[in-house]
Amino acid sequence: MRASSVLNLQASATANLRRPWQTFRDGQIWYGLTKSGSKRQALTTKQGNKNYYKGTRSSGIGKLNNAGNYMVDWTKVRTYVVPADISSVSFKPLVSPNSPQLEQRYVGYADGPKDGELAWKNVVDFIEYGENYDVQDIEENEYKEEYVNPKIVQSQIELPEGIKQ
Amino acid sequence: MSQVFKRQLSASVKSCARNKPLKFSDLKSIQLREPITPTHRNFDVSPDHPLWAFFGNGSNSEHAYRTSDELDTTSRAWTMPELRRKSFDDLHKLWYIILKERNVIATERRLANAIDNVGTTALSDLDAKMGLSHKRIKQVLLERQTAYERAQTLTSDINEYLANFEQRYINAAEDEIASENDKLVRLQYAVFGIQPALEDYNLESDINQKFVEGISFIAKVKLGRHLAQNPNSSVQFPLNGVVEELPFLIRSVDQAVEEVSALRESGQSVLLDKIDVFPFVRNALGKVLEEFNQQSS
Repeated sequence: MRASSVLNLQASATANLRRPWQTFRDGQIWYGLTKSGSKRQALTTKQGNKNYYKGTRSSGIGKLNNAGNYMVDWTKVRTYVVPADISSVSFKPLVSPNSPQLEQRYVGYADGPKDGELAWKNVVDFIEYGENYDVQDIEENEYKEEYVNPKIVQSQIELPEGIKQ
Repeated sequence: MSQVFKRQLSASVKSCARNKPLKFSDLKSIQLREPITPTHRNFDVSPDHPLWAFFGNGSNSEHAYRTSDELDTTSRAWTMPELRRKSFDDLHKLWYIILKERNVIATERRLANAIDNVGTTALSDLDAKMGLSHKRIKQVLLERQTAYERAQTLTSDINEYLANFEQRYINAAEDEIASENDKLVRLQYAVFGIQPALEDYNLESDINQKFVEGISFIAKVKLGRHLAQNPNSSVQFPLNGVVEELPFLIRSVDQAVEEVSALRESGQSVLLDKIDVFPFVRNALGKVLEEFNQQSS
């Protein structure tokens, strides 16, 4: 095996890209025994050195106590919260092909439904007008929903006046 | 000469031993039935059996899996705009309904392959549609979380609105105050996460920094209005931390003012250290909840 050059062991950007170059105190390199070859794949459970434990995400839910009994920590055990009234719900797993598709348009909100400004406007509207303040009759609107930024509406109203001047 | 060791319990041998000879009644009078062949066709399973949930047509299923003509191949997946209109609870239910159906399909695919070695493209296509719906549900929740986190950063907007609200509440006329109170209840829920009804509080998880800020805001607003109407009230600003602010959340304004003045006279009104605030709130709300539960029961 060719000795790795000294430059490789320095923490430069290029040396970083040429992983692995860190070692444990006993001289073993991190996660693997080779510095060459294809190394951008995820390691399997059988690879790696003594410090690499991959697991199956199924263990580690408790600890051994002094008597050697495994005490399960129930806060670490995964749980599935199933809604209580699931059998009485009328939803279907798929939607009928005859049901019209809804179209949503976000005007003046840069990131659409992810926009923080829109979320804050919704909060304010909820406080001012109560629950279900924005129920729109989508059938009447031909299955189109619009969320328009009030600032944009204002500027559009002001713009023609400005042009007149 | 040598004793034979038998692995048995001497007591049980004695008790189990037959000490009377076998006797049979008249063997000719015994009627024999036709033997029942032990196949699944000869047994009825209750239609309520929970394992029916793993079959496509439930307890009406005739076969282990559905063929492609029995399947609904024309329906489509839920779209993002449709899911955006749904509440969290609805999305939660929908997730499990889809999950159940995917479970059925996974079972059917497995059985179709194993029993008859039949192609399962139709089942796979259905599963792909439902997988898409699942991904979209997660995406919608992610959108909401992103929007929520971004809204938290609009501090100047939030503070401006809160200041406006305070002014409006203090200057509201007598006939408007009922609707302003409703708004305050919604505000404390939407901005500070304080539930409208006392019995909905979760003392373990709800009491946080926002909650304490909310208590402070409510006290400021309510006492502000009280002082605007009664300038010579026994309680004046500033309020001494959460000990004096909490009564305004739990009680009516007049009761709260009385309680605070009593606290001040008795010298029990202390400015709590930061570390004592949450335990104090938890403890005080716990007591009020207990009283409430006793009254209701």
